[in-house]
Formats: sequence, C-alpha cells, structure tokens
Amino acid sequence: MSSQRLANILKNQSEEFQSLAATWLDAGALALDVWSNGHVLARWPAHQANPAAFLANLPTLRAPLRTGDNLIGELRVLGLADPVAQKRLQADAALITQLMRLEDDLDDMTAELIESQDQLVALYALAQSTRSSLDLPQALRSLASVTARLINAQVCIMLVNSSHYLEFISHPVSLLDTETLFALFERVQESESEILLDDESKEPPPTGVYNLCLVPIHIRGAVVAALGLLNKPDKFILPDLQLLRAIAGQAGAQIENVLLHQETLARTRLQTEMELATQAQLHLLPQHPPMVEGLGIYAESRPALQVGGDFYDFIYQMGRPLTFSVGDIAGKGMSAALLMAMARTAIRSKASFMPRATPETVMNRSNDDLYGDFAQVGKYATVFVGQYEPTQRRLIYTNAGHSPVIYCPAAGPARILMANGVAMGLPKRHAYTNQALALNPGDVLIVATDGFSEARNRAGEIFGFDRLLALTETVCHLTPREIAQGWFDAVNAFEAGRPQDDDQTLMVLQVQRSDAS
Amino acid sequence: MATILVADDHRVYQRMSSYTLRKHGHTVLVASNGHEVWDILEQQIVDLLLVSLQTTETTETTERAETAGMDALRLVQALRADDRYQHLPIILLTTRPQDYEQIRAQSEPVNVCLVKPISSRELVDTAHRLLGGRIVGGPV
Repeated sequence: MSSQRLANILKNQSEEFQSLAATWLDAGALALDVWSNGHVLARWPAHQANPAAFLANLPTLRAPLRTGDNLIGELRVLGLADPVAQKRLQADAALITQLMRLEDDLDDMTAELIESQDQLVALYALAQSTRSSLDLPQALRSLASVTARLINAQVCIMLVNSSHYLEFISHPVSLLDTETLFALFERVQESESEILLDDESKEPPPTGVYNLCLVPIHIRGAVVAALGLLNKPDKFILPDLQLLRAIAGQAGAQIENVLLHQETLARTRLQTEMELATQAQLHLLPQHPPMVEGLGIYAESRPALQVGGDFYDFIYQMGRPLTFSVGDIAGKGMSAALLMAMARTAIRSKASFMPRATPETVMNRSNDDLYGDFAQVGKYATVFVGQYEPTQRRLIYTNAGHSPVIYCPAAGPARILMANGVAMGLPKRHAYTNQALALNPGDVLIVATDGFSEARNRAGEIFGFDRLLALTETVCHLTPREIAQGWFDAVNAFEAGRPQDDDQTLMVLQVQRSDAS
Repeated sequence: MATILVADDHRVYQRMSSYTLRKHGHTVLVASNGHEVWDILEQQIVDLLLVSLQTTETTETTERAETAGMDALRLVQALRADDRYQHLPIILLTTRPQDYEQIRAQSEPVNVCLVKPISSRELVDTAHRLLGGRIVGGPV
C-alpha cells in the first residue's frame, strides 16, 4: 500500500471525501487535510481564504492512516481540538485505511481476472489456429509452445502413442531421455491419472528436472497421449493443473480430428482401389456369352464384397468346341480376387492354346501351373471345366471338387453332377479325368458356386441342394436368363435381407429345342 | 508516459483496462458514460481514448446504454466533428464483429477497432502503437 494508492482513492472517491469534509466544516473545522510523505495530498475546502501561516497555527486534530507498522498518511482537521472530534477523526481514518486495503484486494483480484482472461484468450486462439490443422506434428508443436508460455514452464512435452501413430515432442529443448519419458507416459496410461513430481512429493522428479507435471489425454475413451510440463520456476499450483487439463482436452480433440482424417483418407484410398479392382475384375468376366448353335447360355456373378473369388469363362474358337469354366477360390475379398484372376487366366490359356485341349488336360495343366502358388498361400479352388460339342450335343467335363452342378434333363428329374476330382491347389496333386454326358433338346446344365447352396436364412438354415434341385425343376423350361434370375430371386427371398455370405455365380446352358428361336 | 481515458460503462472491464494500462506506467482516467468523457476531455489533456461499445439490440443493454448516455459510435462521431479532437487516437472495443463493419462503413472514425475478448498484451500493444512517439492531445 502506498501514498499513490491513497491519491487514487482520493481521486476516485472525491465526492465521498467532499461529503466527509463538508460534515467537518459544518462541525466548525476550518479545513480537512489528507497528508502523505510530508505534504498535503488534498485539502477541503480547496480554495482557502485563510493564509497558510494562519492555518499552521490553528489547533489540529490528527489521525494516522496506517496498516500495521506502515504509515501511509495522515488525516488532519484544522480548527478543532475536543476529544470527541478526535475520536471521530480516528474512526474516519480507520474507514479510509480499510478502503485502501479493499482497493489493494480489488487490484489483486483484478490482476487474477486479467490473467485468467489472457489464458482464455490464448486458449481460444490456440483452438482456432489448430482446429483446421491436419499436420499433427506441427499442431502439437504449436500447442507445446503455447502451453509452456501460458503456464511459464521451461519445457512442454507431448507424447502420442495410438495404434497407428507415434509422436513425441519436447519443446523447446529435451531435458529427459526418451526411456524416462516413455516410462512416465506408460504410468499415466495405465493409471489414467496425473503425475506431479517436485521437492514436496514422495517420489522425487527425474534427474535433470526440479518439477514435473504430466496429464493424460483421452482419445475415444482411451489414454493414448499425455501432455506435460517440466521446470516451472514456482511450483505447480491448482490453476496450472486446471489449465493444463483444459489444454489436454483441446489437444485430445485435435489429435482425434487428425487421426479421423487420416483414417478417412486411408479408407477413401482403399475404397478407390477396391473400386478399381472391382472394375478390373468385372472386365475379366466375359461381357457376353458366345453364340453357340443350338445352345442358350447365360452367366452372372454377384460377389459378396466388392471383389470376389468366383469366376466363369468361355473359350470359343472357330472349329473348336465350346470350352467353359466356373470356379470358386476359397475365401472372399481381395486375396481371393487375385487368385481368381490367376486361375481364370491359367485355364483360359490352356484351353485356348493347347492342341486338342479337353477338360481333363486343361485342368491337369492348369493345376500344374497353379499348385505352387496356391499351396504357398494355403488356398485352393473348386473348378468345373466343361466342353460342349454342338454338332453332337455332347458334354465332356471334369469337376475339381466343385458344386453345385445340376443337370436337369428335359424329361426327367434334376440331379447333382458329383465331383470327380479334388479341388485345385490342394496338397495332393490329382490326375483329373473327363466325364461325358449326352445332352438332348431342353436339357439344362447349371454350374454354380456354393454361395447358392450355402446361403443362410435368419434362422441359420442353409438353402441346400434339395431346394436347388426342386427350384431347377420348376424353372428349367424358362430361358437361361430367366432360370438364372429364378435362382437369384429364390435365394434372395430365402436370405430375407440377411447379408450375402459368399459370392454367388452361376452359368446356365440349355440345349435349345428344335422349335426354339 | 501517456494519459489514457478509459470509457466503459461496464465497471469490471473498466477496472481491468485501467489496471492493465496503469501497470505499464500510464495515467488512467475513467468515465462511465459519454457525458463524463466530454467533462474529462474539457478539463484534461488526454493522449488516447479507449471506448467500449455497447450492443444496442438487447433491451437491457439498450436501457443501460441510454441511461448512461453512452452510444460509442455517436460519441466518437461527435468527437471527430469537434476540431479539438479530430486527431485524438481512439480505440474502440466491441463484442460484436458486425459493429466493426458498420463503423468501417462510416468513414472509419476510430483508429482501431478490437473485438472482445482481447488479451492484456494486445490492449497494451495497440495503445502503444497508437501513442507512437508520445502523442499529446491535438493533431497527430
């Protein structure tokens, strides 16, 4: 408290002092003075008719303005001398002293308020500057810089250790080695609580620092980061911890924002690649079935995911019988799609370029090519390769573990054509052999993948072969496209909105009747 | 240092601005309304005027502003119309950015318009920037 404080009060409360002086003047005093440091700070009335020498000889009542041993100034009443007036003057002095103390307290509170506002403004500015920043290391460095400055610590540290992001910052210098920092971080992570180490804590701070505060940063409910301060000249007090926690909250939001953005980018990239892969795979499948005399053909594939492991293919060259294939790589998704491309290409090349290629030779040679790769990745493929000679209406086929393959004669019940060989790519190599089947007008051959037979309904029941056989008998008189649509519709209805578990592919071959157009 | 007049009808902000500027060695005079601003300017030389704008759209604040006789924009325009205060550096503090745009549209009667909240550092730096080489009263 100082005479400056007293002068300010006199200025700010001038009306009140004027009133106080008026009561003294009304009581007979000639003047009321406030003195400090040996001179008059204020006098009422301000314009004295009496000369200074006269005033100096008047009886004077005095009351000190004192706080403890500190003499700030003095109240003086000129022209009065009675004890009652003295007591009253002392009471006035006590009130004025208390007023000065309150002004000091108010100043202290104002200073704290200003500091709090400054911190809030800084936090707001920090939030604004980092909210749209997607460069996480830069944002964290800015945050560390502002935090150290706001809380007046020598160093600010930040550690981020999520499943796919690791960052460590110590601004502006490194005071602790990485091992010590990560040990502290792990403690915060496991306990999900703060660490405060100084000369008063049970555990001393690490060598190199005299105090340390580390708070957890929660992201999506887990502690994957921490924010800390080292070496604050005064010790860490509650407002420091509160501000640090507030900044940690802001940092958590910022980190989560960036991680989300990175994940979105990665997902978008993957989605784009998947779309490209889908397009590429679609182009591997024949766009249109070949025109074969006396044979109606339809084929369609519906993968469970964007890309799948099913394939079908036609190889039809002038002067050669129609060769066709349907295959199913075990599994789904990109890995199955890659193997699908390999298998389809191997079979196509054998069927196209081998002289006198038959299903048996195509399958054996393709298996020779593919066995090594399939075995290495632990995959296998069920494949049906057929060959139709239109002039003889003769079908030759070999079936490497593939089902369902349904043959529905025009006049008789539908039946399953069983596999006569194991799936391609299985450890034991197998010598595949041809089977033959004479076809008649109206006969239907459906080569499908097990996405149909193993489709499940909401009760977990599978569609099964019996349903497929019964279904085929009801639709076999329709066109190949209609037969295929009937299969898809029946299985979709059976699944009743349940997601498709596996790829669904089928090829329908129908020997046309002589009166068919 | 300079004599700065803080005109703010919000006592807490008045005190905060005064404290900040006094802490940097300036003499600070305070006014709570436009009449007091004129009274002080008539009696003392002021180097810088800091005015806090009151919103005029909420009923409570309008009543308070009218009761206090305080409309910062009209006050500033009146000061600028007076030859004695044409060049008085003026900082306007407002809580609404749109007020700033309105003021800018009216031939910029103030030197600087700051949107609250501002830090004490920004207040002091702005004041010192306007005071420059210790401007005293009249023309810059």
